[in-house]
Amino acid sequence: MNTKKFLTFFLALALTLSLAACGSKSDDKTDSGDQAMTAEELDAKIQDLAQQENAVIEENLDLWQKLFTAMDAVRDQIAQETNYGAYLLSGIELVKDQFTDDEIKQLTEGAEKIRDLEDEIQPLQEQYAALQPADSGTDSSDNQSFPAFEGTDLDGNAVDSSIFSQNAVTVVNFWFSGCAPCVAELGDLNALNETLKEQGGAVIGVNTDTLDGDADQISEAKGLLESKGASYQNIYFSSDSEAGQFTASIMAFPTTYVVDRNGNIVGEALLGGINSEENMAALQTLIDQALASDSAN
Amino acid sequence: MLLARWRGLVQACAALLTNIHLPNFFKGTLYRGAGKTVCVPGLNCYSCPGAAGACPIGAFQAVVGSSKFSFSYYITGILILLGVLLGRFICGFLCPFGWFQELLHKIPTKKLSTKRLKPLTYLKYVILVVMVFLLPALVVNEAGMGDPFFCKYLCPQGVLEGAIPLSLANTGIRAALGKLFSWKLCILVTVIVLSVVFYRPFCKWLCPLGAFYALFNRVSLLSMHVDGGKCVSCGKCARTCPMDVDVTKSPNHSECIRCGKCVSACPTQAVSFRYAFGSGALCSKLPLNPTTDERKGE
Repeated sequence: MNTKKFLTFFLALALTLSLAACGSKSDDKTDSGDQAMTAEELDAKIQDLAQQENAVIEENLDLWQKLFTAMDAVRDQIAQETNYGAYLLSGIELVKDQFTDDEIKQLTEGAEKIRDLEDEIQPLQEQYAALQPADSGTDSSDNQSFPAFEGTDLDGNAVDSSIFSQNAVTVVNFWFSGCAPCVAELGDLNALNETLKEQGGAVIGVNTDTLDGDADQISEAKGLLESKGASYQNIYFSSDSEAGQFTASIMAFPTTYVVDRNGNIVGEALLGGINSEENMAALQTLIDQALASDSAN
Repeated sequence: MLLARWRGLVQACAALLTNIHLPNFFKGTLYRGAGKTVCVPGLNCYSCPGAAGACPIGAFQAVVGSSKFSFSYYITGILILLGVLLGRFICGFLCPFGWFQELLHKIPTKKLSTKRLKPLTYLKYVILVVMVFLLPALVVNEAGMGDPFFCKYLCPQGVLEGAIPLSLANTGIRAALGKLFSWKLCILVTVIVLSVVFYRPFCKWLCPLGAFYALFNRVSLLSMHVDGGKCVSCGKCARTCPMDVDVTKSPNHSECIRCGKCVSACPTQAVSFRYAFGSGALCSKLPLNPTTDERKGE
C-alpha cells in the first residue's frame, strides 16, 4: 500500500512539474557590466538582443519587406557597413523617395534601434568568440552549415551542395509522399518559389522516400508535385551521405530549413506546414534575414 | 488469483517495456527502428520518445488514411489475434494509459459511480467507427490522403506521451505547438480530472482500442468463469466491479477488463479466470485468501 501511495504522490508531483515546465521562463537579465559572464550567459544575452532586433522588424513586417525589396534593386550602391543598422540607414537614404515621410520616419527609427542593438551585440560576440575553444565546430545554430551532398533532381539532373551558392537564399523543404500536411503545402511552396525567384532565392524539396533513387517513389513524388502544380526543384541523395544522415534525424514532417548563399543554415528549423500564417511569418523573417545579410556582404 | 494480485506490477512492467527507449526522453527524439513496424497491444503513442512499437489505433488510421490503401488488414489481423488471445485483459493489464488512469484514481478523494452513465459506454464504438475508420478513409485531400482524426483531434495519450515530453526536450517541436495542442491538452486535463473521481473514464467511454477488444471479450480464449454450484449470490462481485459488470450474469461482458477484482472479492471462490477454447477444462483456480470463514457472515 505504501508503494501505491508513493506512486500516487510521485505521479501527482510529476504532473504538476510537467505543467509548471510549460510556463514561460522568467528572463532574469544579467547586468551587462558584469565581467565574468559565462559563454551560456553571453549567448543568451546575444540571443535576447537579436530577438529584440527581430521584434523591431516583425512589428511592421509589411513596411520592412517593402524596404528590403526596394533596397534589393539598389544593392550595389549601398555603403558597405559592418553594422546592419547603419547599413539599413544608408539603404533607407537611397530609396526614401519611394516611401512617405511617415514611413521613412518609422523605418529610420527602427534602423537606429537596430544600430544601437548591433553596437551592443558586437562586443558581446567578441567576448563570446574569445570564450570558445578555437578549433571546435561550434554547435551554436547561427553558423551550422547544411550537410554536404551529391545528388540528383527528380528529372535526373546532377546537383550538389554548390547549389546554394546560386541563390541568396534557399528554402529546403523536407517531406514524404504519405504525409498529408506535407502534400498540402506543396502549392504554397511553389508560390513561395515564384516570389523568391524575383528576390534571388529558390525553394528546393527533398522527398525522403526518394532517397537512394527508388524509381517507384520518384514517380509517385513527381505525380504528387504535378497534381499540386509544384514545379520547383526536388532533389535526392544517397541515404548514407552526410545529408542523408541529417535527413534521417528529422523527426517531424514537414520540416523546412532556410540556407544562405554560403550553405549555412539560418536560424532554427521550422516544423509544420508553411500554409499557416504563423509559420509563414516565421519563415519570411528567416528569408529576409538571409537576403539582408547577403546584400550586406 | 495470483495474477490479479500482481496486476499493478504487471501494468508498470508493461508500460516500461512499451516505452523502453528511456534515454530518448532526454534527447527529445524518437526511436524509429524495426520495432516500430509492429504495434504494441495497448494505447501507446508512436510519438512517445520511449515507444518501442507503434500504436495500433494510430497505425490503423495511418494506413486507412493513406492514398494507397483503404483498409489495414495487417493491423486488423494483429488486433483480432490479440483480441482472441486476451480480449480486454489488455486494457486491465497491459495498457499504459489504463494504468495511468488507475494511478490517478488512487488519489484519495470522494469517488463517484459511473453506473448511471452507462449509455456513454457506447460512445467508444462510435469513435472507433467514425474517427478511426470512416473519417480518415473518406475525408481525403486531392491526393487521396486523409487525416488520422482520432490522433489529431481527440487522443489524450498523444499529448501525454508525445507532445509534452517531446516539446520539453525539443525546441523545434515546442515552437510548432499550436491550437490543436491546446485543445488536446484540455482533453487530457479533463480526462485526468475525471480519472480522479471516476474509475477509467477514458477506457469506459472513449477508447476505440478498448471498443475493438470489447468485441472479442465473448470469444476470447481468456474468459471469466462463474461456478454456479459455488455461487451464493451474495452480490459482492458486482459491487466490487469498477467497470460496472455483474460477472454472475454476464461473465464475458464487453466492459470487463479482466482485472480480477471479482475473483478476489468472491467469498466462495466461485469466480475464476479461464484460459481455454469454449467450455474447456483448463481452469485456473489459484486461491487468493482462504475465505471459508467469511462465508458465514454473508
